[in-house]
This record gives sequence, C-alpha cells and structure tokens, in this order.
Amino acid sequence: MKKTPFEPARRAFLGGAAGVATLGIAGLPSTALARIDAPHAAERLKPTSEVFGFCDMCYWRCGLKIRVRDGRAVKIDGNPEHPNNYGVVCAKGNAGLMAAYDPDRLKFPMLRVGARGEGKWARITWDEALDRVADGLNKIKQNYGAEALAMIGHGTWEKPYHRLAHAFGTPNTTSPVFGLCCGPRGIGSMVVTGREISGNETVDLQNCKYVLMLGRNIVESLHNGEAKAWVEGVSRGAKVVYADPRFTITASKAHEWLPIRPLTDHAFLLALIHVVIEESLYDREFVREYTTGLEELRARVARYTPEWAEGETEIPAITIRRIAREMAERAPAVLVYSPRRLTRTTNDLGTGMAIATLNSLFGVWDRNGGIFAPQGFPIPEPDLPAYPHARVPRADGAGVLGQWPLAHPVFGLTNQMWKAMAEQKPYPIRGLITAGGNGFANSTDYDTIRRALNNLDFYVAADIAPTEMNAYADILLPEASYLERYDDLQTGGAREGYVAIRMPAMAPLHDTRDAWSICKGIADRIGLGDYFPHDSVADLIDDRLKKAGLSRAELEQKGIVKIPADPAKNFAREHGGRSVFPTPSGKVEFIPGALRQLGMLDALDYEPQVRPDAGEFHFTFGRIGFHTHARTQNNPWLAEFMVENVLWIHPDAAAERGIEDGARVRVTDRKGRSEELAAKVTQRIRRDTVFMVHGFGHFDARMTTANGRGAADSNLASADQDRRLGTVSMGRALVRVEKA
Amino acid sequence: MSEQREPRMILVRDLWIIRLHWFNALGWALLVASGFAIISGDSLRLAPAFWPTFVQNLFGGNAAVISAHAVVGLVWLLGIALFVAWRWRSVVAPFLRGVLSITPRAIIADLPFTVITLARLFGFMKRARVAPQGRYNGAQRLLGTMIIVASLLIAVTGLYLYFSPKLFSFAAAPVFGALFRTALLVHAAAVFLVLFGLVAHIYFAVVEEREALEAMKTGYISVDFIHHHSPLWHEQLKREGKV
Amino acid sequence: MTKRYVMLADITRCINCKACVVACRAEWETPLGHSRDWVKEVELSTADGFPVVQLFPGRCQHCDDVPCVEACPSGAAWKRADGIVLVDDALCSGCELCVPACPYEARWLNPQTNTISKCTFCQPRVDEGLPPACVQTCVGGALRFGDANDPDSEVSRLLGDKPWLQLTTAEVPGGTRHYYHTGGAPLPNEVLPRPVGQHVQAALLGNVVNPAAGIGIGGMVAAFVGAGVKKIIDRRNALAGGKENTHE
Repeated sequence: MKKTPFEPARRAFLGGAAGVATLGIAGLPSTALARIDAPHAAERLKPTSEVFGFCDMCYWRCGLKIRVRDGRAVKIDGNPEHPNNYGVVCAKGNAGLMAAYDPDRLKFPMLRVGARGEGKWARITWDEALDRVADGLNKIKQNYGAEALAMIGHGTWEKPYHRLAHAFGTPNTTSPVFGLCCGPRGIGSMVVTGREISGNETVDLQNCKYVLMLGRNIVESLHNGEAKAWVEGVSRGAKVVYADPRFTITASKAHEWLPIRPLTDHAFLLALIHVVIEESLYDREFVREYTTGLEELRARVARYTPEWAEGETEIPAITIRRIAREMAERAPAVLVYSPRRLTRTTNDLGTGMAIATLNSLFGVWDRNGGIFAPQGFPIPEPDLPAYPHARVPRADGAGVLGQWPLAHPVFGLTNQMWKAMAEQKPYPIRGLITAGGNGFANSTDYDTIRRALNNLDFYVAADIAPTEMNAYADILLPEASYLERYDDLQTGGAREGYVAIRMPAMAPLHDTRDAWSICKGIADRIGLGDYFPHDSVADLIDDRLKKAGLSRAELEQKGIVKIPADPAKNFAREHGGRSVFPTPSGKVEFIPGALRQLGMLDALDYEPQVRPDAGEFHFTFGRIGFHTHARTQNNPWLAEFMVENVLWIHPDAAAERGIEDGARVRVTDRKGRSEELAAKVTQRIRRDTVFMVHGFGHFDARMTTANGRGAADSNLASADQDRRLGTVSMGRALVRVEKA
Repeated sequence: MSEQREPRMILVRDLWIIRLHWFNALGWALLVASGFAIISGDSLRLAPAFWPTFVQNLFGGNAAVISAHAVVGLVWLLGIALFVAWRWRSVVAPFLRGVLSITPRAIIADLPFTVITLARLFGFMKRARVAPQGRYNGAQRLLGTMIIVASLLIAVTGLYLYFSPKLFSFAAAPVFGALFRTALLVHAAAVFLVLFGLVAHIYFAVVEEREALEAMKTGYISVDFIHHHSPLWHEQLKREGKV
Repeated sequence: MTKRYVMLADITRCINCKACVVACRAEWETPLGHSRDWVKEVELSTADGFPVVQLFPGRCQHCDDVPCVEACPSGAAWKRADGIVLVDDALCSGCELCVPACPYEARWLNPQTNTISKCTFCQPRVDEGLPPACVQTCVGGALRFGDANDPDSEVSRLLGDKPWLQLTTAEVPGGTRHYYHTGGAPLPNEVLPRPVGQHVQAALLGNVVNPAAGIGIGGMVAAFVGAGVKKIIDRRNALAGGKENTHE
C-alpha cells in the first residue's frame, strides 16, 4: 500500500483532538468551582403590633414587650427600659407563650363530681361556679367563722384574692415566699440592720470586686437582671468564691469552688467573722460610726476558729483566713451573697444574721460594689373600706407573740398554715381559696397536704393550669394568663424606681377570666362588692395612676415610667451622705436587740445539723436555668430541654452501688418515702451528697407532658423548721440510694 | 466517463414525522440549555458557572428557569406522547421494530458495525467487512435504543422532580426525598448519555451523510443511498414494489 | 461598603439558660423536635480531676466556603453579599442534599414547610435594623452581632479587644462568620465540625457522572471535530492529488 499524503494530517488531527479534549476536561472543573450569582427574594418580617407587660413565669417579673399578630401573641421580647431585665428574657419568659397556648390548661369552670382528688369534673357556667363559691364561703362563715377560711396564693394574681379574703374577715392569707423561701434571709438582715436587700436584690454586682457566694446559684436559679449584672461584674474582673456542695454553672464561672459540707454555711460565716474581727480586717470607720455590739460579738465568735470550721465545713482553715483577708483588701466593694431561698437548717436565722453581719463588718452598705438603697415609685392604693378585724390571731402563728413573732404577718408561714389545716389547730380551717401554687410541690410533706385538703368543706382553686393541688378542689376557676389581661400595677425599684403596666396581648382564651373579675364576681355575691368598686382592673389602675398624677396612656407608651437612678440616694456614703439603719438603736446591731428581747440570742450560735450515716447522703435540690418552680415542667418548649430530672451522684458513690450513668435508681428517705429516676454520675458533686432539680415527679394525669416524669424532690426533702422563725427547713433530709 | 443522471428519489417519511423530529430537536435544545442553567451547586454542576448565572439572571431567578424548563418538558413530552398515540400503528411501532436493539443477541449483532464505523472515521479498519444493514444500521440501532430508553428515564424522572415536592411531604415519608435525589442523578446521567450519542448523530447528519439530513427536511432520499447504506431495506422495498 | 455580618459568642458569659433557643423557636415558629440554634454543655475535667463546664451556643456558622450552597441543585441555598447564608423557600424541594454537607449539622427538613430550615442570622429582622432574636434575648450578654466592616460597631471593638476562635479543623478549614471567645481554653472536640458529607447520589453525580460526562461528551466532541478536520484534509488532498489517489 502506498503511503498516503494524509499520514501527517492524521497525526495532526489526532493530536488536535487530544488537545481539545484535554483542555475541555481541564477547563470544566475550574469553572465548576466558581459560585453562581443569581437573584433571590429575601424573606420579609411579618408585621406585628406590640403591647407591654411583665412576666409571670417566675418571681423576678421582667419587663416585656409582646408582639401580636392576628389577635394572637406571637413573641415575647424584653422591655429595654425595665430595670429588672433591661431587655433580656430567659427561656422561661420566652416560653410564656406556651403557658397561654398550653393544651392542658384549665379552660372552663369545673365542678367536682367524684370524691375529692378523684379527678372527676363536670363543666359548669361562670354564673353557676361563682354562685357555688359564694355559697361555699358563706357556709364556712356561718358554720365556723370567717377565720376558718384560708387563702394561699403564689403569683402576681394573688392580690385580689388577698383582698377578697381580708374583706371576708379571715387573717389566714399566706404566700410561700416567706415561710418556704426568703424569710430567714430577710429577717436575718432586718434584725441586724433594719434593712434587707428585698426581692429586687439591691446589690451593685457590676462594680463588685469580690463575691463570696453561699450556694446562690445565680445563673441557674435565674433572675435575669441579677444574673446579667453578675456576669457583667465577673467580666469586669470580680473574684468569685462559690461555696456549694455541687459544681453548678455558677461554680464553673467562679475562681474558686468550695465544696462545702451541706448545712454548714453558718459555721463558715462565723469563722470568717472570727478572722475579720480577730485580725481587725473590718471597716473601722463604719463599724465605729454605724454599729454596736462588736465586743460582745467578738466574745461570741471566739470559739469559732477557722480550724474548728474546717472540721464542720471541710473548707480548709487556711482558705477561710485567706478569703477573709482578700475580701478585706477589696472592701467595701465586696459582697457576701446570701442564698435567696434560705430554708435549709433549724437555724437559718443564724445564717441570715451572719451574712448581714459580715457585710456590715466590710462596710458594704451604700457603697459602690456593695448593697445600695433602692428607690421606689409609690402609687396610692384605691380607696377601700377598712377591712374587718379578725376575731382571732393567724392560725399559722406568724407575727403572733408566743408563737412565731418574727415571722412576716402578711405573707405568713405557709408551712405552718398547712399544718394548721391538717391538724385543725388552733381552730378549724374548713375553707380554702388557692390562687396558683402547688402545695404538693412547694411543701415537703404530701401527707400533711392531703390531710389538710381532705379536712376541707369547701375548696375553690383559681389557676391557669392543672396541678396536683387544685385536683382536690370543689370548684376550679380557670384564669386568664398574664398575656390575656390587664393586672394591678407593678411598682418597685432598684437604682431606679418604676411603675410598670401589664396589658393584654390578646383576649382571654377558652372560657377564662382574669383574677380581678373573678374576685369581684365572688365579692358581689357575698356582700363584699364595696371592696371591688372598679368594674375592671383597667379601671383600678386608671384610678391609682390618676391619684399619682399619671395616666394609663402615658404608661402604655413605653410600658414603664421611672424615677431615674440617683447615685446620691443609692450610694449615699459615696456622695457625702449617711447610711440609715432603722433598728431600735439606729445602728447595725451585731447583737440584735430584737432577739435579746425575745430571748433568742442563741440564734447567733452555731447549731450542728444532721450528718448522714454510712451509706446515706445529704439530699439537696435546686434550680436549672430553663425550668422554675413546679410550673414549667408541663410547658412543651421547656420540657424539650429536660422532661425528667436526674439524680446527681459522685462516681465513687455510684461505683459502690453498681450505678452507671443513666441507670434508674431509687432514693429513699428515713421516713420510708421513695422516688425513682435516672442517675447522672458526675464528679460535680460531693461524695456524701445527691441532688436533683426541683419540680418534677408530677402525678396529675391532666398534665400530659409532665405526668409521671422524673422524681419529686418535695417528697424527699425534710419538713423540719427553723426553731425561732417557724420557716420550713428543707435541707435536712438524709437518703439512701440504690439501683432500681 | 460516468453519466450524470438525476438520482431517483423516493419518499421515505411524511411531513408529520419530520415535524416531530424537529420538534424533538428544538425541545432538546431548549431543555438542555435550561437544564444546564438550573443546576446551581458547585459540587453538582457540570456547566461552567457563567451559564447558570447568565440564564438565572435573565429569567429573574431560578424559579422561572425551572418553570420554563418544566413547561417545555411537559410540552415536549405531550407532543411526543400524542404523536405516539396517533401514529402508533403506521409509524411508531414499525420504527421501534426497526430500531430497538434490546436482546443480547441483537446488541452483539449490532456492535461490529458500530465499532468499524467509528474506527473508519480515524482511518482505521478501512478493509474490515461489514454485514449488510437494514434501514437503521447497527450503530444507529444501538444509539437509538439508548436514546429512547434514556429519554423515557428522563421523562419519568423529570416528572417526579417537578411534581413530587408539590405532591408529597418528604418530611413525613423520607423515601420520597430519597427518590428525588436518585431521580436527580438518573435525570442528569441519562441526559449526558443522550448528549454523548447526540454528538455522533449530529456529526453524521451534518458532516458524513448530508443526504440523510436533507431527507429529514424533505422526506425524500435517493434509491442509491438506500442501496449503498441499507441493502437489506433496499431488498425489502424492491419486494414491496416501491423501487 | 458591603456589610460583613458576624456573630460573636463569648462562652465565658454564656449561662446555659437556653433563652436563645426558645426565642429562636418563637420567632420562627420552629416545630418541636428541631431547633435552628442550641447550647452545647461540655463537661470536662482538668488534669487534677477538677470539673470544668464549657457552654457553646451553636447555629449555622454562615461559612465562607459554604458546602451547603455547593451541594444544592436548585440554588435554594445561597449566600448573600453580606455573608448571611439563606434558604430560598421558593426553590427548595426538600431534597436534603445540603443536610449532610453541613459540617455543623445546622440544617434540617422542616416538617411544616417541607423546605430546609436553619439559622438565618434572623435576616428578616436584621434587614429592618433589629438584632437577631437570640442576641436580643441573651441574658448573659454572650451573643453579639453586627457588621465587622463598620469600625465603630460593637463587634469590631470586641473582635479587636479579645482573642476569638472559629470552629474549624484541618478537614473543614474554611472561614466562618461565627466567632467564639473561650477565655483562653482550647475548643473541645464536641463542638468541632464533622467532615463535609454527601448523600450517595450527590457523590455519584459529582465524582462519577459529571466527570464521566465531561470526559465522554468532551471526548466525543473532540473526536468528531477531529474526524471532521480529517475529512476536510482528505478532501483537499483528494482535490490536490487528482483522481488517482481517491481511496475506495
């Protein structure tokens, strides 16, 4: 065959073909990596309107702005003006929508048709419900007298029920806040200084340089403004020493964690006082000018050496001395931070007083970084007829000489009230009104609560949601939630004084009514209509605001009207002013005259508490940031984070019992009560202590999310009491733990 | 000296078949152009970035490109389906009988012609013998079968890709989402297979056998062409008295 | 100047209150069982067995290299010039090809819309001058958001004042728009991204079908262009060389 002329041509095109192919293949990936740039429409925010309010999920009552669309609340934001939170809202607050939209909430007035607590109900109209309530209350008064009616409240809405009960003529109204929670802290401070830090925590955390915390788990027992200020203070360099048997989230941000033996805080504080006095670490000028009793105190604390305290607390003596000296160096911008709920031992009064004493020794009152003097915003109450005098003293003995003279005569001692109802002493109590609350969860003896409830002739419960306690009612009155009503004004203050408004974001859902119209409806039917002269609570606040020279329209602009912070008032001694201590002597009384009169000076002394036997644990409980009280466990948005609590137990203790992380365990107290739950095996707790988050272990089938989930700390905690205040003492329970 | 004489032409397809062919071609052109413009993610995209960028901006967003692609695709599908239904007995069935190569024996029979034809393009296998071919030669049969199967897959997967998000909840039944992802893969792979074959189809029509292209415009082809390329068909036509 | 939005999380200020999670859920009506953001609680201990707890607020990191955008067939996943990575609901089929691509597991199929949901830095709020819902509600002030290209912004100041880390690894090294201040502690493994993943269909398409098509179709084009060139050359040779060299 001849060689054809196109041989080179073939080679040429084969080469060319290969070249094009290579370029094509090589070119494709590099262009593929570039990102395309195409038009898109971005989402737009849907329009909403806004009302102002304040939260009801816990007791801090952050200021809110609630966004509304199509007549429904759709988002809860913070009110940036409100001193309680300056615009932030925690998980509970954000989840408030689900308190309103809870499918389990009480929707209609109900009448008990089975046995008390059996859970059989018939739906009735409001008229019938209120008529029956009127009838029930009248019978109580006829048969036993007005004092046979008790009223237990726990929420912003309790105010009208207090008014109703006082108008009725009973002295027996109570809220858990004193007897189950803050009482000892407040009284301890009051008897020593005549002042307390109030519910608004009037402490200058942002500028504090050293915070010694006695189990105040500030970022999980969450009050937003307080936590916000503490985080800010820490970020500015405050040293935090945190004493707690458990390594909480607060501990994780502290510089030092002292795993103190439970129930021994008083010993720790007494030793600190001992060192501060012995080494003259106290604020000499302040002590000289504003206090009495230093020498008597010196003598009383002489035996409370750091070495002695080390034996009690397991905090090394050398640490105790160092802390005292470190605080003195930074005083007065230091704080001994009390637990808010100081209901742990038989002498919480002693602990409360020691905290006030130590703070006073460091001269923190009315100084930057210390405790400041709040401003208020007084708004006159409406004109009402005088309440009738009760014929007899309070059944719980609160404020009663010979019983619990130091206890708050208005908030009362809820623990003692339940006992009075259970035992029908000192006189019969056969009627009960509850406004929110849950005696099974906030008290620590189911048996007492049951007996009390079963002793009743008539029980009307007003609430938003079902609880184990209101399951015992004769009449259930479904309330409108805080997103569905006006309410009485919120007044208060820290640096700023304020009055804030709660406006409804939507009309009451289902067939619910607000607390004020409920109470007016009852009052009108039992001849007490004069005590509820306003047609609605909106009229009530109009009346009050007018008296103060304000208007509702003004208040509804920003949700709040404030008196600005005044450093000269808040931090008087920084600005040439004086501290004021409204005690009988006009000074800080290290040896409180009130206690001397009552013969209770031994409260200044340490009372050793209980210790677990071999194989036992201290039983402790507390909070977590996204649940609160016993009212959030059924909220689906919060249950999403934790639907069951778990038992914290140290790995060594767990190993001894063959307990692995996540295994089910049984916890049993010395009374034979027991609860079951899963274990969290963690080194974040002392070997001799166990812990669970409060508020679980619900046993009401109406709570479809929370029923049967987790364990009830209230069925294991102790029901002892402070020997002098009568407040409950919940920290003394000793339990065994075993694999379930 | 050879005689110049008019080649004898016969009609081998009617106008509607021709229209369908160009309808199909136009559909494909639009669908390929728009299809390559839809796939946006860089790790899934074959086309260079400028093309989807250009087209999506032209249409004011990919949603419009997808809608256009779907409309053209549905019209294309409907057009072909209508033709298939209308001319099944007279055109489509005989065509399929002639072009489909689906049994292993048929495929094996068609392979040699395919290989030899390709090789000859590059000057190889010039002396190899080929068996006499029918109306559609071995390469056309293999390619045509592949294109018909692929087109069916493209149509089915295309319908699923467009309609399944509107009809099914992928969240409620994840199998629908898994099918979507698979449909996307199959749709793309089948399109690429067709394009692969389309290169050859266009080359042969435009470069090698221009007369065949003319036949797809007019419907007429020379008897000589048939005799040369498709002797078996030529014999059949003689038997039928058409030549 | 184009905005450069960034989210800063100072974990020393995070208190695990979950306000950010609930605020986000309420703002965007997220169904239970899913969330656009989260807080991861990491429990560690020091060498001497002392407990440590670190809290990491998490969400879509709005990456610069956006593997989700690269994985999306329809362009529903897209990144705006200011850095925010979004989902165009009109284009999202719910195919979930983007879900395994996200190294932070931030994307999920929303059962109510059947489209992909994820953190959008609250783009509809941000476009109206509002902060993201999580940032606004954050109790500890751990979360901050803003334009890092604005030298006067809070985030610019914070970025300059302290050291900030990003959640990147050797396998997922690209830059993100989410920064973390840990107070000097190293990032725990629990919060590091996992490698970019793919559904099998995406892997086949990207690694097998596309390259094969590129080579195949490109090769076919090249081959037939070559054949066409050869034909032209042949014809020229035939014309130039006269009739005697015409091959059969």
